[in-house]
Amino acid sequence: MKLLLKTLAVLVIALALGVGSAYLGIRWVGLGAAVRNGAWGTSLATGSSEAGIYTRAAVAVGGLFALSKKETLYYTAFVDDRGEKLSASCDYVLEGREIDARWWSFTVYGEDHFLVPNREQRYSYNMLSLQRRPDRSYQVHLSSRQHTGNWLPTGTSGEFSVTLRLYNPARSVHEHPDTVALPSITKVACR
Amino acid sequence: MKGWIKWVTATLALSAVTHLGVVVAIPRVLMLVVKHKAGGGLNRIHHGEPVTAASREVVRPSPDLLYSLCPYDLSRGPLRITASVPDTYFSISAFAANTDNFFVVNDTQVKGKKIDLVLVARGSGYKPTAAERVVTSPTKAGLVLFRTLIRDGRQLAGLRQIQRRADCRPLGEHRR
Repeated sequence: MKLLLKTLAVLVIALALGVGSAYLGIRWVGLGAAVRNGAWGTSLATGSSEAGIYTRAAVAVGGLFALSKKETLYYTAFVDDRGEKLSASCDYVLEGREIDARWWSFTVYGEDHFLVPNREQRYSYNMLSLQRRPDRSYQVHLSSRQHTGNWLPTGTSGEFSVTLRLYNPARSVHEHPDTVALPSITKVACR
Repeated sequence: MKGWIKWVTATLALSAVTHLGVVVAIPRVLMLVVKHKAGGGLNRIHHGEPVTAASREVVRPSPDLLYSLCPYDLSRGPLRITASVPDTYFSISAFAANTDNFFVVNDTQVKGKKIDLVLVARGSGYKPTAAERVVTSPTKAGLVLFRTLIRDGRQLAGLRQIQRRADCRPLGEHRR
């Protein structure tokens, strides 16, 4: 009986340790831990057979069926420029300029990695739909409250993230993803 | 070895095996979940609706894209994949059972307005005809994903018509 209890305890503890450490390992690798560029992160191994088991698992959880870097480069921001997590209870401004790719877009996702429900059914802006300044730069409000101009709703609670997709990025972009000029994300205020 | 050391060692060894098993299994399990959600069986194309907050089949979907997918099993032979190429970004990508992206072709890489591919399993010994473009899957099971970029919402109806021309089915059905 004592042996049975000990064996059972070993199985339960080992299972908890194994699953818990796997969860932490995948979360630590995340979607964009490999290359940092301001608030943004990307993994160059995403979608390729070069991806390690942790990157592959992280992508499966948070970006299943991602393409390789030459086809599409995915940058994701879970934090602002100061490294603080993006929160739906705060307002942010995303500011940037043209990016050298065939097509690019920003999309906001909730904590569950799905689009944020909102009355306007507005989930993203792309290189054509953004309202621009005369110098072609742009500003996007990331907020739960309605704004004039470019505005992406961030939901009413919890954390959110922004994915910047670059379809067919220029060679200079996918070869130097850490130095290419990407938009800033600045916190304006919190409630 | 003292009794407690033996038990601690066994616990750590078993937790390490569990850890690796979970990390390796996650992509394969999620691939199976997507196939199950797609419904309608294998080796058939499933055309998705425009992406909204209600779209829950695949995480982090792009609202700029129309998706079609074809979960496949090449155990019984090759698959023929065909599509019309729209005047916008369009790609066909293929993913192995462990979710590795082993193939992609986009609209700028094809001559003309048609894509015609034959997907075969590695080691199948399939002998293609001179006209066939063969893509080799490292695993018998996997998934083919079609992406069509919606540059402007006004193009949606036309793009959906082109999207529905894409097909994926066993090569034998085409030859009958």
